Amino acid sequence: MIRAFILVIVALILIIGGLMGANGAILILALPAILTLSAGVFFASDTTHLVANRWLSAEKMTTNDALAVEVNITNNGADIAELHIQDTLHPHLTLIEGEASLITPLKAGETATLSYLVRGPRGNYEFPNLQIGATDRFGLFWRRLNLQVLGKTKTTIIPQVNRIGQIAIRPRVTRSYAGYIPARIAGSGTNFFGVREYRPGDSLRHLNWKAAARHDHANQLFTNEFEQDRIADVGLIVDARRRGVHFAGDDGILEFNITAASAFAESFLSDGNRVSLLVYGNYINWTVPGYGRAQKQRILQTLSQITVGTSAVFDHLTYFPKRLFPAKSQLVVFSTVLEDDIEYLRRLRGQGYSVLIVSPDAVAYEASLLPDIHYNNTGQRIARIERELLLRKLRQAGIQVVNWNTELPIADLVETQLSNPMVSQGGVFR
Amino acid sequence: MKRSNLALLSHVLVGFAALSFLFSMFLKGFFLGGIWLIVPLSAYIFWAIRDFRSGINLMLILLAAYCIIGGIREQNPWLLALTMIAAVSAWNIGGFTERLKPFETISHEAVLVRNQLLLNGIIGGLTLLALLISQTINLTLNIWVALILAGFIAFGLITTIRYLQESDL
Repeated sequence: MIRAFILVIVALILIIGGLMGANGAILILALPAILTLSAGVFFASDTTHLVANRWLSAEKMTTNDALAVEVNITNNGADIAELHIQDTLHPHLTLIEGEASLITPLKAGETATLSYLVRGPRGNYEFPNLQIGATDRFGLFWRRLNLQVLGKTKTTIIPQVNRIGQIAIRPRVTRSYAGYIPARIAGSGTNFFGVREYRPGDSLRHLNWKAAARHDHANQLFTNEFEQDRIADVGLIVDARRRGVHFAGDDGILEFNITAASAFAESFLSDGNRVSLLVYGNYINWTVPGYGRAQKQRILQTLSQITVGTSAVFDHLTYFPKRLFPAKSQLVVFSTVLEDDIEYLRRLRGQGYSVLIVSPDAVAYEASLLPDIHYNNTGQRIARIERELLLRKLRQAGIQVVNWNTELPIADLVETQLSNPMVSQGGVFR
Repeated sequence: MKRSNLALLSHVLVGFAALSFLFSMFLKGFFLGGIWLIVPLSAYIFWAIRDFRSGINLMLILLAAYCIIGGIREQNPWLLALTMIAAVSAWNIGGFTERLKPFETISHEAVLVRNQLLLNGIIGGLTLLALLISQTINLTLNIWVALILAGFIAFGLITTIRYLQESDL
C-alpha cells in the first residue's frame, strides 16, 4: 500500500506541476506512474475464493521421524497475479526439506501445492492456517488473509522409546494375575521358595527326597515350593519441577527423565504389569493405571506434552498425591533428586512403597554445559560429593537409587544395574 | 531473464535515468546542476546496499521533482520522458525483487518475471507514444483540455483511493 501511495504522490507532483505551469510535456511525464497505478487496479487480486487443504503424513510420530506436509491451495475465483503463501510453522519445528512458503501466479481454477518435511521435539503441533497475500503485478494493492485450512491439522510427536531389557523389581504387593515379578507367595513358579509337607495331589516331580530321608518319620514326605510370579502395580513419577531440571540455564535434563520414563513404561507394560504415570510439575498430571498397548500410547501422549513446571505449589513434594498409587506398590521416580525431597521419599518408603529412583546425573550434565575452567572443576567436585551424600542418604533409607550418567544409553544402565534384583544388606541397597 | 539478473537491470535503469536527465541538462547548458543527481542516486544506493527501504521511493520522488524543474526549464521532453520511464521501471523491478527475496522457491518464476518486464515495457511504450502524439499534433493545454484532464485525474484518484481502502497493509 505504501508503494501505491508513493506512485500517487509522484503522479500528483507531475500533474500539479504540469497544470500549474500549463506545460503538457510535464503532464506526459506523469503517465508512467498513472499507467502503473492503472495496471495495479486492473490486475488487483482477490483472496476470498481460495480453498486450502492440508495433508499430514502422520497423526502420531516419534522424534526420529520426519513429518511430510502438503498443502493444496485452489483458486475458485478470478486470476491472481501474485500469490504469496506462508505456512505457519510452530517455532520448535525444523524444516528439513522443501519450503514452507511459496510465491506463484494462480489462475482461476488452478491449484498451487506447498510441500515440505519437518522434524521436531516431542509435543502437540497444530497447523491451523496459512498466511496468504495476494497482490497485483506491481505489488501496489494487497489482500491479506489468514486462510483456514481443511483436512488434517494436528500431529503429536511422541518421545522415542528406547528398547530396554526386563527390569527386576520386587514390590511388597503384587496383583493376582501371572506375570514376571516374584510375588513372595508360594505357588507355581521357577524360583525355589521353601519346603513343606507333602499333600496328596502335589506333583511327585517336586518331592524333596533329601529332606524326607533326613526326617525321623520314615513315612513323612516333603515337597519343594516355588515362588509365584505375578504382575504388579507400577507407578511412574516424572519430576518436571523447574528446580529439578534447570541446570546451567538449560532444561534439557527433563528430556532424560522423559526418555527413561518412556523406556520403563514400555518395559513394564510389555511384561503385563499395570502402569500409571504421574507428572509432577505444573499440576497433578495423572494417567490412570492400565495395561497393554493402549496404556503405552496414553503414557507416551502424556509424556509428549510435558513442560517444565513453574508452579510454586508443586515446587516441593509436600503435595505429592501418594493416594493415587496402590498401597505397597512399586514406584519408579525419574528425578535428579533435590535435598528437600529426601524426607518425603523416606516417608514413602516407610509407608511400604518400593521406591526405585532413576536419577540423571545432574552434576555431570551441568558440567558438560559449562566451560572447562579451573574453578568449575573444583565446584564440580564439591557438587559431586554433595550428590553422592544425597544418594547415599536415600540408599540408607532402603530406596533403590540408580545414578544415570546421561552420556550412556538408558538400555546400558538397565542392563548393568537393573536386570538383576538389587541386594539389600541390612535395608541398604548396595 | 533470471531473478538474479533483475537487480542488475534495476541498477542499469537507474543509471540510465540519471544519464538521460544529465544529458538533457547538458543540452540546456546546465553543467554543474547535474551534481544534484547525487541525492537520488545515493538514496537508491542505500536501498540497494544497505536495505534502506525508503531509498528507492526517495529516488523516484526526487527524480519526478527534478523532471518538473526540467520541464519548466524546457529541457528536452524525450530525455525527460526516458528519465521518468526508466525511474518508474527501476522502481517497479526493485519492488518486485524485494517481494521475491524471502522466497527461495518460486513457482512459475519465468512467467512472473516475463509479465513484470512486459508490463514495464508496455508502460514505457505507451508513454513514448503519448509524447509522440502530443509532439506531432502540437496539443496546447487550454482551459478545456485542463478541465478534461482534471476530470480524468479525479476519477483515477477516486478509484485508487477506493482500492487503497480495500487493500491491506
